[in-house]
Amino acid sequence: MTVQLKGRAETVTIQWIPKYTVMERLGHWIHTATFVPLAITGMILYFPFLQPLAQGEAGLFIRLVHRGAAVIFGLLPIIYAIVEPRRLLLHIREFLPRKEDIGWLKAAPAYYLLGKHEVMPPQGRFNAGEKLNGLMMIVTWFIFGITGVPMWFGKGIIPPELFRWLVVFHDLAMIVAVCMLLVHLYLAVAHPLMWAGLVSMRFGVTSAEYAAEHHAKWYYGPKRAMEIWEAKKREGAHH
Amino acid sequence: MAKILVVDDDPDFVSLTRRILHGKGYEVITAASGQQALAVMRKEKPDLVLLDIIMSYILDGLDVSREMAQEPELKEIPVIMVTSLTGARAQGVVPSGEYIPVDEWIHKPIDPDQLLARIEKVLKGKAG
Repeated sequence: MTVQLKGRAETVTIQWIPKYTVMERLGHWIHTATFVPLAITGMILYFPFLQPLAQGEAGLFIRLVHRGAAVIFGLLPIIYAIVEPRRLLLHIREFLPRKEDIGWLKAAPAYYLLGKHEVMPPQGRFNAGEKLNGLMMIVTWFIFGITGVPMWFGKGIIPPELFRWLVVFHDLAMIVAVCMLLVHLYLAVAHPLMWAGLVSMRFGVTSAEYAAEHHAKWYYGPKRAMEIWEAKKREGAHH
Repeated sequence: MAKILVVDDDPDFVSLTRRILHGKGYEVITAASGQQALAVMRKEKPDLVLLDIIMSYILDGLDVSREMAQEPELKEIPVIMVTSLTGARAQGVVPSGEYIPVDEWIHKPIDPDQLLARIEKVLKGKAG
């Protein structure tokens, strides 16, 4: 997008839009750097065929890595809430379910698998897929916390039956979180339409062109985004 | 002294700018979104508007200046864009397909002296 200054020939071109703050990017990468060892050590402790790896001193080391990473993983959202409370509230507002989420869910298969751009209604700063990913991260973070802490400190204190249920929920949360990570990783690294996600998580900005295409409600505002989309649909119908 | 409308959704920026402008004796009024800014403008008729771009949505500020240009009562009010948009460094590169009436363009973080100089320049231009 280009803006011309009043009464002058010079113009200003808007090319990059800020999307994430330094703290958000740092938080994302620390989250990744703690989640990956948590998932690996967790799977070694979970899958019977990997459990031989968790015997003896190696087992102690694996548990130490798991617990050390868990502490950082658990504290990270709390630190973020303290450091950037206003941004956190902004994200919570943006992650609330909206009507456009239903449109995204309906259009997602044709959009992502067949590349049909025109079927996707305008999306906000985060689309329903990103919201779903974020929601699962929050839910699993809670489950990891409320099951993991008593599993760590409560052995021998908590009734065995309750302890078994804690382990079950901890493992289920791990399965869900790992599946979400794999989808997230594929979209961020390999999917041809989603290249800007990785750019914005590295540099904090997204291209104006990409924002207009993939997050039209965030770029143009709800009214104009709908007008543009309706016009595109009409044009498509004519051809 | 001139009345300046500061439009920004970042309360820290508004508070800082208010201090800078009060220091020079300007009267300051504020708004936190494009829609609110237009409502305040219609009521208060400021002498100048300091306008952020990204507020409720990315082009919120540009839409405000576009809307101002269409309203006879607002179109003479000068606008200084104050923004952190990264690519805005690329001035004078691409010819514009879309004309958006903006008098000046300042990057965040702002330099108080530069801000005051630009305001003075724009207000002088308006008076002249």
